[in-house]
Amino acid sequence: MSKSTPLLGFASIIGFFAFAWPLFISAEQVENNGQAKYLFLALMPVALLILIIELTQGDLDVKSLAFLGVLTATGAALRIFGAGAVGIEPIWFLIILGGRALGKRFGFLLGLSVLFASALLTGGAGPWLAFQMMAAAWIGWGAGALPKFEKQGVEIILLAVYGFFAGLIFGALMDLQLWPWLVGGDTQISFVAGAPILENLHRYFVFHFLTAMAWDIPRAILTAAFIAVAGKPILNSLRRSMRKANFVTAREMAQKAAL
Amino acid sequence: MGQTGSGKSSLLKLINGLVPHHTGGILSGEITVAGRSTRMHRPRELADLIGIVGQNPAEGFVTDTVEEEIAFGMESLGIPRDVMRKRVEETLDLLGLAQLRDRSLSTLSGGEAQRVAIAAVLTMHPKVLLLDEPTSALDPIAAEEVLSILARLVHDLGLTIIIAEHRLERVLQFVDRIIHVLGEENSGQVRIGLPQDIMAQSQSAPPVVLLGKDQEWNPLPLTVRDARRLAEPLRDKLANLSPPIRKSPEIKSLPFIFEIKKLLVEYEKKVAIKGIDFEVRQGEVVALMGRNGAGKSSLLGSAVGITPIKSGQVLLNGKPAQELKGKSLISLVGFVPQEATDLLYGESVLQECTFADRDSQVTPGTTYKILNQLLPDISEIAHPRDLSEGQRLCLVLAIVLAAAPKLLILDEPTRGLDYSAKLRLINILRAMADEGRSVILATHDVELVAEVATRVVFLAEGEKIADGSTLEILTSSPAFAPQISKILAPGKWLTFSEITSALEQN
Amino acid sequence: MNQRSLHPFAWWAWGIGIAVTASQSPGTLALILLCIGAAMVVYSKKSDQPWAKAFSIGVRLGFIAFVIRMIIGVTLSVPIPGNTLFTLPTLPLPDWMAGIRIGGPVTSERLSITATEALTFFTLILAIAAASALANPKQGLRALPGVMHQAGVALIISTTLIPHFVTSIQRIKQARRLRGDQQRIAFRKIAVPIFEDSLQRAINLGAAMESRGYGLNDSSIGRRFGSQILLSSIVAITIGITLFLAAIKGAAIAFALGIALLVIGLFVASKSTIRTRYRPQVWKGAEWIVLATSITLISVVILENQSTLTTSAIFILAITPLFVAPKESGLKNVIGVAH
Repeated sequence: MSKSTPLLGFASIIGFFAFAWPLFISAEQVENNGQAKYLFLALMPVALLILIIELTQGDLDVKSLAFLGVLTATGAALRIFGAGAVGIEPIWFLIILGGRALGKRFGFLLGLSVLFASALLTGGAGPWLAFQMMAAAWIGWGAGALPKFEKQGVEIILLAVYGFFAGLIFGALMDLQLWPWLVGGDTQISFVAGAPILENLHRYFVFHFLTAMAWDIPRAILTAAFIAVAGKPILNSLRRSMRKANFVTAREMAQKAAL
Repeated sequence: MGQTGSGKSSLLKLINGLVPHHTGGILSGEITVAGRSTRMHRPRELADLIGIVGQNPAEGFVTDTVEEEIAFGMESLGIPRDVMRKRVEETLDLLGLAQLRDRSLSTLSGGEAQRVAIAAVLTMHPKVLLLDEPTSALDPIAAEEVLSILARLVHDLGLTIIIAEHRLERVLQFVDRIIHVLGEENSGQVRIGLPQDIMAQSQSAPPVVLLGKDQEWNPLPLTVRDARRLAEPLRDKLANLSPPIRKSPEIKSLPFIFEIKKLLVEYEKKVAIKGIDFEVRQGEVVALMGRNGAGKSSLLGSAVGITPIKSGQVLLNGKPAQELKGKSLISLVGFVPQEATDLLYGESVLQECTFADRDSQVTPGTTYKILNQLLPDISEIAHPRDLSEGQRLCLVLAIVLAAAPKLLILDEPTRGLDYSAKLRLINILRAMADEGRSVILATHDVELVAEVATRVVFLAEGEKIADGSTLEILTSSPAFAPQISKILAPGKWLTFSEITSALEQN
Repeated sequence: MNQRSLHPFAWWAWGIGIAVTASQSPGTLALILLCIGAAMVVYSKKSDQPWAKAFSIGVRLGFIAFVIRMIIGVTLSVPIPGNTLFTLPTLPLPDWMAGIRIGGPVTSERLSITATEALTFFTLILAIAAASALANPKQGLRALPGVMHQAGVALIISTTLIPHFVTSIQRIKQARRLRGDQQRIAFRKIAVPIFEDSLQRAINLGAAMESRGYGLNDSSIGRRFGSQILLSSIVAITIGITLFLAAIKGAAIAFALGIALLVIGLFVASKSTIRTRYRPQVWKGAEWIVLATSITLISVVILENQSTLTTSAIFILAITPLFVAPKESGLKNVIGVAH
């Protein structure tokens, strides 16, 4: 577990820049080479590739793999089920609960695979898929990283709040990625290379507001609602099945092997 | 063999190493298979020696098509490609799967899936094959196929096969030795021996054995063939007797509880039901039989408005079934679907009962009381999914019976039930019929039908091909006749209890 | 497999080739031709498989992106001098959206620049959608190099199970009716049984895979070494990014180093698995040709931009798979759900 953490960290840094480069890019760079957005478009899949190789080669045992495959299918099926109504994306609730019960690393992978599988299924694979995957992975990881609470009621509230913000943040991240593409470099709400971060952020938020409030707020509310309503029994089911399947984490396995 | 929950599956998994490596638990003592200890080796290291096929083989599929699934195990072991090709071809032939090689796994029937799972494991050339209830979901004919293939594997390849099975009547003829996992007072103990010896001592046994023990035949017959040889004197004794009447004549005059007129059901590509007429009166127990895919589930679903109807009428107590909802629906008809667990969403037995009380709008506690009658020692706080098959079925029955429906419909209820759980079910159904309620059962279990049904209806390809009294129908079909009738043919007897009561009365 | 179809990686090479070509500003005509070419290949070669609809979805999404880009570009532009074609009514926005003015004069320069950018984005989306529609994802997953095999298995499991869960959800919805439940929306009552079902499956699946020998014998030394190399690859790329953003020289070197390390890392890691592959997807002449045309496409546009010769070459290269790829047939499998 600790072996791959630096890699996860660095890959996330690459991911972060792939999303937020307009805020950090210098003016000279944009003048020299207007292809920054293509570069970062290509970098994200590369980072993901490395991540996936590392994570699945290492500590992924058979049980986790089976759980990953099955939960991904459940998530994708729920997405189809919710596809009728706009904005109903039950996958977030699944990623968050899965990450919470099975740990940060699993949550990370779950985020990656649910987005990928549902894109395969619904045919919605676009150049932004790698970005969606990374954002979902962070959300899954975060769910597992939240502090532990003894009382279940508190845990559910925490997760619901997390779910709410996760819904908003996902939208914000994807808009950030689309920002240079949909808006170009020469409009009033484009990024200005080399400008102070706050100024660019201001422009970004105008764009974000203009295009995404309709999707993000419902997603956030629905995710929080799903978690509040069904979070407790599902979290219990997840934990019970982990017990039934004798889910030993990698660290414990290494300890046992050392004995 | 052993009762549900006695530990048969665990025993199988012990041999293969899944217990304790996969499921946890503490192991003392030693299990060695061909010199390898399960304590030292993880199941994957024993994969070339032991193959296991679980209760629901489709759940173990990892790939897309039959051929890939068969090759998957070998890929994991790093076997060279040409060897894999050869083994795949051999195994396809061995199990009669050659035509199915490119089929998608999700389109396979139960029997086919079972064979593919066995094939997938055989390619690794194991010495031992473990099967957990291989025939429970199969109709009698598919079950025969699978079992004869297994017998052939033993004879031709010298494989050692260990099967966990409830439906002993299907398996007894093939078996060299029995491991009886005891339950209840002797819980945790195991008795191993020759079939005759174990059967002589065991309470639960197929009808052949029960008859043999009762009639004190020696040697104890295990198969229909053995029994027929010894049955001559019994046949004479019964020649002038007739079985007790099942269906009272007044039934003919009772009103219909359920009627179907010219029902036509079509799904996207196929016609599931082609213009069937079907009625059930109060107090009848009707068994619906037929191959998987003949339309049984569609027919039953129409009673509760689940099946989309293209044309025709489905009436419950005179009212169209599709228009009924909520309490008015469930107080007329109770439906236990094939996947009974679909109905459960509570976190404890008690919670499920409370929900059921609320949904049926009955006094709180009703459901739990019914459940207690069915299962006196059920624990309230147990999670529904942790219960055994038989216990879960009783829970769902209690939920469904809480609304006191006039018609009870059961879709494949005896999958995974042992003889004693089946007996309990039979008693419940008989009690319901006595009260004037009706039951429709879709099942493959011929013995169950023989015990409890007053009428049998056969479906094939969406059409009704037979409809008559149990005695008529079951004794006229060689494949679907219960053991007792096969033994005593041409006499018309269906169950062991019929014979006992007829003999007593004289 | 019964009918031969082009290796999914070849299709992706083609799609990426088109995407990269579009990104190198080949000219409006070339862009349009690329789109048409992609569409031609897709419609002639696609199968009935579920992923084939990716293209029409891509067209729709691309169109929406195009329109949004045009609208934003036209209404929110920073004014530049040029021929004013028409003027939109101006709409000053509230103060907190300080300084933004919707509308104003629209120049032909503005229009053409915006249109080109929007068209480029559209082509990009189309290229990826075309590749997704034609490349068989299941075969692609199977064809992954040994290192990514586990990821591939997880995804194969999930794609195979999805139809099962969709029917489960159906069944559970029906089951609610059987309990006399009249609630219209009962998320919890549907989600809980589905999860229980899937978790049970997961446990059984894990047991089955384990019993079949999955996961045997992965050498840990090779893996650890491979991890180190991958880590260095990522660090190199991160450095490259920082250099790039700050416009310091050397970014390109860092990136190249990163990619090289990645390839080495892949190679080393793949040595550590002992898995063999049954009947892998073949890579024959057709695949080589498609790969070659893709590379040629990219080189052509980088070397010589915006001439008629280049544009026609681009078009011909883009539609090469039409002549070279075997026809995707409807496979014998009935991809559906049976009980």
